[in-house]
Amino acid sequence: MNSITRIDDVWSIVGVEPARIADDVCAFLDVSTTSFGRATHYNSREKQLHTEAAVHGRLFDISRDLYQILLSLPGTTDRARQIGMSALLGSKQGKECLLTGNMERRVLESFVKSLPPQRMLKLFDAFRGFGNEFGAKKSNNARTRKLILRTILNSPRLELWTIKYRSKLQRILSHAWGRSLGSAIGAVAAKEIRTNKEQSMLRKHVLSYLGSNCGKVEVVNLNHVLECIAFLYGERDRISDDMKLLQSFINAKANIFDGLKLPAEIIEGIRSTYHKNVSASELLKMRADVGGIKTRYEKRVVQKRVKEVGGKVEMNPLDYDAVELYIYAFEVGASSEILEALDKKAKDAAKLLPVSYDKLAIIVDASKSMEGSKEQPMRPLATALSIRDMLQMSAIESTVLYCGGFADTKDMPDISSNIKIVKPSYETELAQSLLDALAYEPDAVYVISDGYENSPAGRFGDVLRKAREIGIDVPVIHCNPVFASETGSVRALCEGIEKVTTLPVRSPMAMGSGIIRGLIESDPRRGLNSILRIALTGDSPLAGLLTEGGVL
Amino acid sequence: MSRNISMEDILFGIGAGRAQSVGNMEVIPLISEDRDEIIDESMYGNPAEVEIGTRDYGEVDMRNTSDRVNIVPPGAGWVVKEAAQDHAIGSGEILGPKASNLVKTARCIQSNQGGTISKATHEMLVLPVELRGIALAKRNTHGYSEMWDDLANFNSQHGIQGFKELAIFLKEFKRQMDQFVAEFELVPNQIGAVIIINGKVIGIEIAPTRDYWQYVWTPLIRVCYGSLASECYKRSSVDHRNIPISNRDPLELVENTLSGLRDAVLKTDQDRIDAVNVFVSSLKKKKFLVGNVEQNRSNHYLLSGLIRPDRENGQIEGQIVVTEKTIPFFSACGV
Repeated sequence: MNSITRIDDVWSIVGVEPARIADDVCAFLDVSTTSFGRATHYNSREKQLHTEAAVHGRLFDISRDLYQILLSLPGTTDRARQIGMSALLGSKQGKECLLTGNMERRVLESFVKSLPPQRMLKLFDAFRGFGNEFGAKKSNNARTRKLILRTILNSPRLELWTIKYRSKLQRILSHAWGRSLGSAIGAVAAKEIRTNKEQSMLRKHVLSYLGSNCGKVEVVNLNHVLECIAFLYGERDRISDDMKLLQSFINAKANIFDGLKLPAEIIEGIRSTYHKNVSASELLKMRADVGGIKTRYEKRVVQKRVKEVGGKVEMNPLDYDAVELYIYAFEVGASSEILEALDKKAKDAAKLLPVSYDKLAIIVDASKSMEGSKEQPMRPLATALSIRDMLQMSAIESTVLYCGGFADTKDMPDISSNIKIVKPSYETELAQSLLDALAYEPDAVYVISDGYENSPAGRFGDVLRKAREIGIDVPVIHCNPVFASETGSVRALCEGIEKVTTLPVRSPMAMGSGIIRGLIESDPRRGLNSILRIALTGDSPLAGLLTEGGVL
Repeated sequence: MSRNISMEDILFGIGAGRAQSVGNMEVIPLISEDRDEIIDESMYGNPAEVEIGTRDYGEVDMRNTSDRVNIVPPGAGWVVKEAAQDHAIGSGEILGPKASNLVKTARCIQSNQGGTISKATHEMLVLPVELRGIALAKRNTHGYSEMWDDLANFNSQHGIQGFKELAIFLKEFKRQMDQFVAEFELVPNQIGAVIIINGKVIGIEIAPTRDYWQYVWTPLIRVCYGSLASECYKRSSVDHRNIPISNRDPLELVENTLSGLRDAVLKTDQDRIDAVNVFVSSLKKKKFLVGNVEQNRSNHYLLSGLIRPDRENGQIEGQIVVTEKTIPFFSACGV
């Protein structure tokens, strides 16, 4: 394994050919920004996982530091970070690494914080070594144990997790502590009076992981943690009044009104088992009325159903990313708040873009296929529109050309904005839009499309090839929001034409990595240095870490 | 006794949309223009509203849950996840509002699995075009195992040996068939399509309503026609994105400028539109030769027949549903 040795030229890695770095980095960026480890239309899950593991493995072998830097890029999928953490925790750090052990721990902690709880717990659960999820082998070394116990026991949401992820959390703690010790801790945690030996046990295995420095801990916090541990290990007879959620969980079985503020899946499970006379719709309305719908995700997805049953859920559009907001707008319509939030999101995303243009032409494929699948309805078009918005913000002057689709002006608020809702329709006829784009004489043409062209297939490439022959060499960047594993990446609109790049793009925030991926192909050194700048600035988990550590 | 129904009547109120072509397959969308004036779309449901189950081998029990007339297309099949024998029907079925019907001439399409399908709204497919014709030809024969040898031959032609079931083919060729679903797109007001592979018309499909078409489109494009197209595509071993083929004429520039390029694109597009219009005009002059009425339900009549859509190629067979004044359904295919 090689380490990064000079900070002013981080990418000069000893003994590795730049061309090899470029290829492996590009492959990694494709996987880390688009792969979700699921089966797709074209490839089985097993094949996807195999490819994914190979790409991660190659970069990890080149440099552990580089691997962490790329994982910290904006737009990296949670799954890539899960695999990355599994690889980092499952192997020892070499002495020659740029990031010290302490720095790597903080990077890992920041990755854990970036994951939603269910994904974080799924990763921790994978360390038990069952199922080979995320390529994780059984891992129970001191670093892994510390990461698990510090993260779980210090979380202000421990009580919520205790009822929401009861079995999983208990399994994870038992793995970290060992099964016998875990049961013993559970039993001791439930006791009111403990012997010296028992107190010593709790000090060593619980208290030492609490608090930022694992030192002083408020008694109330400690009691809170111990009650959760006792509950997880089945000691549920004596729950103090402070533990509102644990109380609600127990009481809701007798009286559903006591559980209206519990997470949706928990109270729904209790309803369907203990209160079959209450319908799911009635429960939804009751929860909406008492403010029981709390999570960002649930607020968005239940809006339509709550409206139907006469309830109301408040949501803040700024809590959602641009793609989610478009999906929401497709479902329930756009309000002025949504459009203003989209406008702000587009401006923020444009700031992260490593390039800017004076004059830009943007082709948006709004044909029927951009509707997406049953599992992910409207996601491709929602992604395309959010990328459109960001690109418009990044240029002084721009034109947007639509292929198919129709503008949805119904119930649109009258605000001055570039944001327009377009719905998918018609066939994919990109060639005409390309001609219009070239006539605009832009600095670059961006085409946002799933790459499926049928009017006829291949015409886009024919036109571009001819355009090159007559001397029009404006760069064409094809941004594809749909992963097509028959190509191992995304489907290209054409091949073998100069100055045409196809980028996988999952969200506007990942666009910077995508553009740089194209730059790496044409100018590896420039591209790789740009990626470093993104990784070490802004909201990146690595930002400030190297400076603090005296490396930069 | 046989008689002719003109394609002019069948295509009344229907126009052609812009052709979509990918590789060796071309789809001409059929668009409802003023068909609404003669066919009331609110009269018809779609196959998603039909519950099916099997009582015994070779029998499919259907129930139309909608209060509208429903037509289950010929060659409809159900490959289910439960441990039950997959089944298909040869003939289409007319179901009156809320009506039930037991089809006793259905075919088992899975020889190595026992059990009956529980009655519910199962996802429908349409048999691959090669098998659909065979199923139609055997529509009046009682029994259940009559298609097993055909299934074995079909699988064998696709490189799968020793299986008398459709499920294995669907599993093996999932990727190619899914790709065909993604390649072709529904257009507004579409109610049917002409399907052409390697320049030969292999299918003409017309649905009673837009909603019906939207539902049957995926089963038709994915399994019925997609299976054949992917096989032809595999044999040709070409990348359709790089090689100009007959349905993508090369661009010929008169002038080496952007406007010259635009003119060339417009010309090839117009040539293509003209060719489609010529084809549809010639299709309207054809006749669908039908036999006796095979079903008479809710004032809808089902007849089987054949048509020769172009001079060079052979005939294709299928079924039509007519009323006293309208022709809401037409489906014919063949290789």
